[in-house]
Amino acid sequence: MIALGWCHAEHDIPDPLTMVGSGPVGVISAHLNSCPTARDRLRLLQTVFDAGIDCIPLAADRIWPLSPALALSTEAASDVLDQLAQIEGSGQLTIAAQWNSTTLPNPKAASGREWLLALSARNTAQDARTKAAEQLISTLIAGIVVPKTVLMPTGDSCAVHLLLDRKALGDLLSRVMKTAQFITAPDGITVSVTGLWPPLNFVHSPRCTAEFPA
Amino acid sequence: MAVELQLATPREVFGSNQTTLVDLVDGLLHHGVVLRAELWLAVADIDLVFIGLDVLLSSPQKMRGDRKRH
Repeated sequence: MIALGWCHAEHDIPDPLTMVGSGPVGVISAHLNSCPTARDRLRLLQTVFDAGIDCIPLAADRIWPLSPALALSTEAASDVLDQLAQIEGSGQLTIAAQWNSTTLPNPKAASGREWLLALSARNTAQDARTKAAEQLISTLIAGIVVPKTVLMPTGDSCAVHLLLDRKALGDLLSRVMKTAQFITAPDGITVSVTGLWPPLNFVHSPRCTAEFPA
Repeated sequence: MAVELQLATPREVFGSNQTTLVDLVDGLLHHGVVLRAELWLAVADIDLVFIGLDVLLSSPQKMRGDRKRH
C-alpha cells in the first residue's frame, strides 16, 4: 500500500482508494498495483478532488510507502488540519504558455566558434520567448486577486497556478477569456488553461518539532 | 490576432496525447507535499549544525528487497 495524501478522516473515499489512520486526519492510500505510474497516482488524487473532498496531496512522482509515520503526530496532524482549512473548497487553476523549443535556432556548426555564436543566438531567442510568455500570462491574470504562485519558466514553458474557490471557476474563466480577446498572441506560443486540480502548489510538508534534552 | 486559449478539464488532459497537455501533466507530477526532515543540533541555544533531508518512509525489509532487485 502507498500513501497519496491526507484529508479529513470522515470522508467516504472513492474506489479503489482507502482511508487509513485514526484521528481527525486520514491517509488516502491505494495499492501500488492500481497506480504504478506517477500519472496514475495524480489521476487518483484527481478522483478524490472531483468527489468534492479537500486533500493535501503528496507529490505524485514519488512512491510513498504507507508507514505509521504518515499517520502523523498530533502536531503534524494539526498542521495538516490548518492547511485543509486554508484550501477548503478550493482548487488549482493552471495557466501555462508553451512553445516548441525545436523551432529555436539549432546550434550546429562546423567550427567551435560558429557553434558558440549559434548557441548564443539560440539563448537570446529563448530569453525573448520566455519574456513574451511571462508578459502574456501576467496580462491574462492582471487584476485577479487570488493566491497565486510566482511565474515559473522552464525550458519551453512558463506557468502560473491560481488557488480559487471551486464555485468561482466559471467567472474566472470568463474573465480570462475576455482578456485574451484583447491581447495579441506572440508568435509560436500557445496558452492552455487547465483545472481545477487539487491544490498541488499550495501545500507544504506537515510541520512538527521535537526537542531532545542534552 | 487574439490569444487563443486551450481550455481543458483534468479529465480531458489525462485523456489527451497532445504534447502540450502531456507536458503540462508532467510538470504537475513533482508538485504536492514532499516530506522533509530538518535537524538542528544546538548547544546552549546556539545552532551548530543543520541537516535537511528529503524523507523516504519505508520499512527496512522493503528497502533491502528493493536493493536486492537492483
